[in-house]
Amino acid sequence: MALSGVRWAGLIDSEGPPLADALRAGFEAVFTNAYAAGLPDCFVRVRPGAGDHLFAARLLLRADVPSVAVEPVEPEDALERAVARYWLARSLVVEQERVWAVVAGLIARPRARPVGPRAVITSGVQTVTLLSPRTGRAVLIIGNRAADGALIGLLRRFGGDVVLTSGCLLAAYGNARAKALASAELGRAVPADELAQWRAGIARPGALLLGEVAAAARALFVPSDWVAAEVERRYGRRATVMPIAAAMAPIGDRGIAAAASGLQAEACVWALELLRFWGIETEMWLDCPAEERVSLARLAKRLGVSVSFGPGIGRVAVVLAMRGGEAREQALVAAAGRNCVASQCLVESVGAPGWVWTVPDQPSPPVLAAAMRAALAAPAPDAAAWAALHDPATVAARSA
Amino acid sequence: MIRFDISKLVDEPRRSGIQRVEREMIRYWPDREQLLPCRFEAGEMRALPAGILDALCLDAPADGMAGERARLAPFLAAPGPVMARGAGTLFCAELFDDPARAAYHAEEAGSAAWLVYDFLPWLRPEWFPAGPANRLMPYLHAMRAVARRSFISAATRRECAAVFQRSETGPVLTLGADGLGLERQHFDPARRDIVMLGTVEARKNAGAALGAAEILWREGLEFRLVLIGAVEPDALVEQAILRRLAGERRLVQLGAVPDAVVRESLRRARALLFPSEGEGFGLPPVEALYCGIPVIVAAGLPALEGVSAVGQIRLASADVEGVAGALRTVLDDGAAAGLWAAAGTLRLRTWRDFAGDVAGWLG
Repeated sequence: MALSGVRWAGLIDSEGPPLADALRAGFEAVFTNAYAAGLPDCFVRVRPGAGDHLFAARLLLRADVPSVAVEPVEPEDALERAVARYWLARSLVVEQERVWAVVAGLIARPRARPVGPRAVITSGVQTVTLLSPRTGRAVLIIGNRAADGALIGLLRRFGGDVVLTSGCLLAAYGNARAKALASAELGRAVPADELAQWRAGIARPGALLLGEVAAAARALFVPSDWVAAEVERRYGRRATVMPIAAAMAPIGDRGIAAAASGLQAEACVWALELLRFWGIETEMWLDCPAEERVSLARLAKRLGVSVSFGPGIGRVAVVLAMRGGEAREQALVAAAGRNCVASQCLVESVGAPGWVWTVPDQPSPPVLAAAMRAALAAPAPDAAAWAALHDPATVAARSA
Repeated sequence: MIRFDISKLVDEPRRSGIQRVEREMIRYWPDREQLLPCRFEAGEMRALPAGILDALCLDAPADGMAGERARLAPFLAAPGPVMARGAGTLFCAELFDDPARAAYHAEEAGSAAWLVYDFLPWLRPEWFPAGPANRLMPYLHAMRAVARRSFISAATRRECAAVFQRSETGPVLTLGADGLGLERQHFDPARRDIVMLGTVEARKNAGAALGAAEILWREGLEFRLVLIGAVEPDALVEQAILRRLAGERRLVQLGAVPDAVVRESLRRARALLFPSEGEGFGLPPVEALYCGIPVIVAAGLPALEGVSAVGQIRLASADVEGVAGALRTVLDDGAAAGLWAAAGTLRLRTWRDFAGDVAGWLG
């Protein structure tokens, strides 16, 4: 099956699955950057990450982008219903037949006559894009991810507007640069072991490392009032609050989905055992780094508690989001509508609503268990206002 | 017969608060013949030579912990005989993170009796570096199973009930106040030192104490603030204040020092300042009061629960303003004289009382 006359442009993540040759052959042209090589008929990002929903929502505001397809981490029916042109694949993009069918369907819909692209809005922007004469304005979505360190470099070199999705950018910097920036921010030498403690989640970072972005960004958008206040206090820079865009995930009726790593993930398993001791039988989906699963599974088995690994946000009644990983802010936002437990810095970073149970950044199992028990027992919160605030279309409209 | 598990005391000797309790308990135990010292080794509880108990009661050696280890080494040279399970009471007054040792106590739960210190690493994890709360979970797990628990304070017993979600009926065994070895002190207006005793860290409220001292120095009040205790590596706020105050002649930082230096400092003290809000007990204030020295403490200090409030200023709010107000009071000679007179009337529990209480509880 081929789609004659259809060009496919998308960002190809080097860490993602390769684009199948057969799939490439199905299109008249395939461009690995949506804006550098002409007008796309359909935008596909092979491997989405933080900022995708915002990215997609912004694209949909443009008359020259007829459709957006995103491979989601979680099934998110609500978003699909809310934004008609937004298609959420349920499996890998490389399953060609399904992609072709959906793309064909999207293209068949009536759409506005495309005009030339005016903006670049991406979490995977490339130098060539920023330099392109077709680029009117660059908006970089920068989060607390190692991959986003390159974006900061491009921002400093070429300028642009920035949408921050986190209140701390420690993960975006290597050790030497992080140490230098943290020392400058705190007005004292930050030793390597202190930095290592921040990275390991043993201590909360004393420095937010937002200084370079705050200095280089033309317009600066941050995810919460707290981050805006910190940016002004620490760097003397005013920022505009733009809530993180995320669709509300479906709400299950039992169990806990926990996003955590390292010591926090271990504490989650112990907390589950303590809940059982208190007479509360429940189960947990634990989203943690793959390399931690073996030891955590062993601990769970020893304690006799039920732990499954992987994201379970769409199945459960309670969500627990801890600091230390990438895109935890998005998980917390998407989890709203059910009861949530989250670490202090995440709550501050996204400006979480009052129904979220806040625990310290390095919680103990009893503290986690007590918060989980309260969250399991409480009625589901009324998240309508929160959902509206973070609805991708709303956020996109505001940002436009 | 009491199998007394002192594994950490002999394997990792140090002059910590918990090991002080163990040493004083041994020193004043009513009938030391009852005690069979033992340590956990390779999955079994093994007997230690009885003579090690005497060695553990000696004063701290001048050469520090190296000397302590050398003194204990002959008793530990050969593995002792394995102690029979279930024989008599298995008593433990240590906090430990060895999962195998915790499992042993859990298996011996029916005959085990523990002295419990506090639940702060689990209930206030933000006060501690990350890690211990997880590492100590096997200990907490075993504590649940242990048949008999006693507590160093009523606050600790309440915390235990909260963590385990069940009522706790074990006794509160109050620690001794006479361990400092300091003679009775008397008020003299020339005493102008405010002594703060304890590690410098957030939960001890050292920041509030330093902030209050700065305010009073600016007001022209003359006194010295003497800090005794190591500065914790993660006490970043307190470290920043101390850097700012570097060169301040009225601030004396002694660090971690031997008891003799503590005694010498208290001989010049007008009051002991102890605004900590994170204690399982809080020994320094009762030790100061035992010697007749008034104290400034946070209200709700477990060590003073149930004790007459005389000779003390109990801070409803242990913040900078609260501490500053209390310091103004004790720096007034008239008010200070009154506090000293009242402090002299207090009668507090001794280590002998404590050891007798523990022995009586264990039967």
